[in-house]
Amino acid sequence: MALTSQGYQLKQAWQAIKRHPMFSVNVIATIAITLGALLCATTLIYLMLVKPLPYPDMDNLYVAKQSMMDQEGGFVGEGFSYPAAKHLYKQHDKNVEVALSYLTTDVITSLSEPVTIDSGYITPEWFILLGAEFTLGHNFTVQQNMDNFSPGAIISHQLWQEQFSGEQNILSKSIDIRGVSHPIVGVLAASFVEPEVKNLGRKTQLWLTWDYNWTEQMAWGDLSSIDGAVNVLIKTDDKANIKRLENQLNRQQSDLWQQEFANHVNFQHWQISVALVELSNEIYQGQTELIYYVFFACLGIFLIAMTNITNLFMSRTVEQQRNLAIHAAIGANKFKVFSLLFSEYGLLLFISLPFVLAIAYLGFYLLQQYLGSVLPRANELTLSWFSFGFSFCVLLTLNTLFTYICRQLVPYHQLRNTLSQSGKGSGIQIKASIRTSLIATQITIAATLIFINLAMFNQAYRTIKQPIGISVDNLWQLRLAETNPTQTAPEALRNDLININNALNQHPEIAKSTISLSPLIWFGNYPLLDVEHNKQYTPQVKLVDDGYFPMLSQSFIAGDNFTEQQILDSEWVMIINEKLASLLAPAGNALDKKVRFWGRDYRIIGIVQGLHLPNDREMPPRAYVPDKRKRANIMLKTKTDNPMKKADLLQVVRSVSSNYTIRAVAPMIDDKNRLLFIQYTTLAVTGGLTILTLFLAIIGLYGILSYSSQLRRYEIGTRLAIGAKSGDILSMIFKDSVNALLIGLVGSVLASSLLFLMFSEQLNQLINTHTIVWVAATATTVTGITLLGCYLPIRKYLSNPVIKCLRAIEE
Amino acid sequence: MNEILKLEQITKVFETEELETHALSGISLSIHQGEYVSISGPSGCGKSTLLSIMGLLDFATSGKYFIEGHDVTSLTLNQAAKVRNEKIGFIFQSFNLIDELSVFDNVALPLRYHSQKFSNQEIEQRVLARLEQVGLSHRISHKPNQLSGGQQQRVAIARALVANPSILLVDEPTGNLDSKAGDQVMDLLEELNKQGTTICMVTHDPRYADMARIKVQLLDGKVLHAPLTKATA
Repeated sequence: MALTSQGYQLKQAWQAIKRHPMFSVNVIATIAITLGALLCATTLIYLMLVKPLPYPDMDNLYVAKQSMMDQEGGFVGEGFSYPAAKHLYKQHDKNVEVALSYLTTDVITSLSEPVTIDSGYITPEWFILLGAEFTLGHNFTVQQNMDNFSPGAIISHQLWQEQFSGEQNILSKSIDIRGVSHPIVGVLAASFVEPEVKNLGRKTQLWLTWDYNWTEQMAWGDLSSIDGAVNVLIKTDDKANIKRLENQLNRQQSDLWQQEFANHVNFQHWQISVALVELSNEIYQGQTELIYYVFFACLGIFLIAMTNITNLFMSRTVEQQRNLAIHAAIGANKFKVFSLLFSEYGLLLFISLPFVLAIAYLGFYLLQQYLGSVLPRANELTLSWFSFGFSFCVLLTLNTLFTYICRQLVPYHQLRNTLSQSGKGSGIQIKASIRTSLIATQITIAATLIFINLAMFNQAYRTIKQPIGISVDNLWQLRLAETNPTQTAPEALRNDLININNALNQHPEIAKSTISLSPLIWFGNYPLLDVEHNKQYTPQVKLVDDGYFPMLSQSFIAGDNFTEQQILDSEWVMIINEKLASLLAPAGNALDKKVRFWGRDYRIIGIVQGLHLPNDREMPPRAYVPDKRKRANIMLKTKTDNPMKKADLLQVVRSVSSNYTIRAVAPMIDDKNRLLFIQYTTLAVTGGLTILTLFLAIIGLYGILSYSSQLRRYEIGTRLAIGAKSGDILSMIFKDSVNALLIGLVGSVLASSLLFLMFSEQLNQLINTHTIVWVAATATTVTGITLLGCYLPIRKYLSNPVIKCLRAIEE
Repeated sequence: MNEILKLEQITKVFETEELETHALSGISLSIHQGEYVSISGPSGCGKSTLLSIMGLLDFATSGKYFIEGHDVTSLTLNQAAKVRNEKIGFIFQSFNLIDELSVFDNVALPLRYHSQKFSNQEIEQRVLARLEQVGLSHRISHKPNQLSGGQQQRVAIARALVANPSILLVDEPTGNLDSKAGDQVMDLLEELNKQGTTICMVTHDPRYADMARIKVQLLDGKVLHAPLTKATA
């Protein structure tokens, strides 16, 4: 019997939905878009706070990070120096497990076309600690451990499918990287998720044995400089004594440091410390604010949309008043009336469920495609039981809430009287307090979102527009890789590079080229000693040639550029930026000063204007020394805007020597955009959210005010009939909304303050001299929306003869 | 005697995509100061439409309309509002009082929209005088829904009178009242007329139509019978 009754109610509910297609589409679309977006954001929070990383014993996994401060307390870097990481690996206690990885990019030269991929050099423990499973083959063996120089390759499932068409005999093949042939020993399972310890969204395609990494091969390792490619993973079962382990590692590193720099007084005062950071914290470091921002923004928009839908449902309830009255008159009790409304609204909400999941699915795809490099674990975003459960619970809560609010709107005792009254002036109406609350809620959320979005938009825009000090128009970075570096003598490499550079200069599309690496890609931190004052600094250092500064149009404040001969002779001369000059000679001239660098005395011959690279909060001290032409990086300036073709460049390179392949070639604007990726993303996201917020707020406020104006048509008509003018009515309606507007604006100030208190570290940087402008812009925008919302619904009453407004009353 | 309203060949056509309805066809009518005119006729004959045009709530399709000698045929909406406020008092079938306002504030409303700014003291004097006139001075703080139908209509009459209009336009004043309350309202209107108020009333009830001294009968949008008014007699 109960089932029949529920079935009947659902049938009635379905009929009602079909009778009001626009209303139904409006509700379903609004819920699908806003709840779908909220589901995406909640899944990110769920991954961050609840769902463990997909590794065994992940609570016991730590990333070891070394931080270096020079004797002045200046920050040198954080990560791990190459020798220190090796030392830690070799000297660790038996109660901990240590794994190393060296993450970089490489070119596979054994395929028909050279392919650039993300690569990783690891010790065998790396995959053991991460619990990696293999589709084919196995992990590296003990025989392939550090210092055994036994090559081997493990490829990702994706590389296996894309480059080897999933061949089953893959384990009989090899991969050539920089002159070494690595036999493939394993294919990782498709389900393996790489810990994002280097870059978010990174997908390493090829894993090789540790000994063949670049630093080892090129003998670059230096205890006093952080190697950004190195990662140290530690697993300990003794979680309670993690501090003790940290102290032990610190002692060990300190001993190594003192041993290495026993004869260097300045280095002895450096502060080197090792910290153990939980793997999950390391992955989310610096990104939690972004995730919370996305969540709160989606929640805000969802709440605005739900306020709109509350209003739609209330209007619908008023429309249904007569039907409900008939049900009440023929015996439906309070519960039955509730259940009638619950069925209709519930059916509509649950029809939205598949659309919500579809929008979320689309959202996951877009997040992975466009925000994979800023959102941790984006590759784990997928529809799951969590998505379904969350959406179901939210819809059920909404259904109960909407039904409850609408049920309050039609008090049962009044419902029964509805049929027996004339209907004039006795219809149910939305209480002024409910109307004010709805408007105030909309304004609070909208104003808070608009203010924060505008402030963030402005900050991102200013960073993007800030001049960096160089022009990157038509500039390209070409990065070459030797196919067999171990067999190339340094002198041969140097000559090859000079010849390749000369050949590129002859290319008809190239205006000029220089053997240097773009400032947008790399600077290294190295110690430098002011011999005169025995004072050490740790500037950012770059190796360049004589064409570097002219190509970037970076101008000289004093002194001269390197000469070609100085570069060829690798003379001990240095060019510094204005910041380092001011440190070395606060009151005088830094030119011709002697500084000790890399164990030699360098003479400062030039001072250049400083660069303000994206994300430089303030200009760092920088130094430039002649490149010994050991690194195969060439900057190019093209004659036109036309893109450089990789094949053309390869042909030029190969015409000089077949020992080189192209590791990467890209316009420098790409590097600039990469550095500004967060700002561009912020610009797009905050801009989009502001427009969406405005759109939803206008629709919502219009809906509420329009509906309340419709209910006040009786009153408006009467006032017009006794002589009120258009202005009188407009000012009356606006005055009635002013309270809600003021409450909303005060609410938004409180909400913004609360957010600024909760996220002071992240949001306080938004407070600056422009803040007042954004507060004013937000208040003006919201007031404008409210005015529009007041005017639009009543304009038809004011622009027609009064009888049209009154006729509905008299009819 | 002063001519308050004058209609010359007034027509009103309602057009829809499919239909053209001639609600009024060439109505000419004059009402003079102190007259009590009733407009009656069967349902749909155009009497409410005529009253709407007379009250500037609607505009004629053609013809000329004068109030106190001024041509008001083609006023803007705001100009019409000013004339309604100062020259015309409305009494509606369904009272049209505003629920949220007290009796006092309902009656004071026309003074608040008046071009002349009244002091609070003036407003209080005038409102109390009018409520006294309709016998409701003891109900000033009540809300309309706390009053009976007859009392609500008397509040509406006080509101219509408060700005001292030239004429009261009354639309089926007893339509929503029982006969006793209806009779009381009609007695009040008669009393007001005796005191000099000009009244034009639309009603379909012949008993109440007969209470007016001048009876105009409409049929299909035309004047079927209109006796000579005082001025033309």
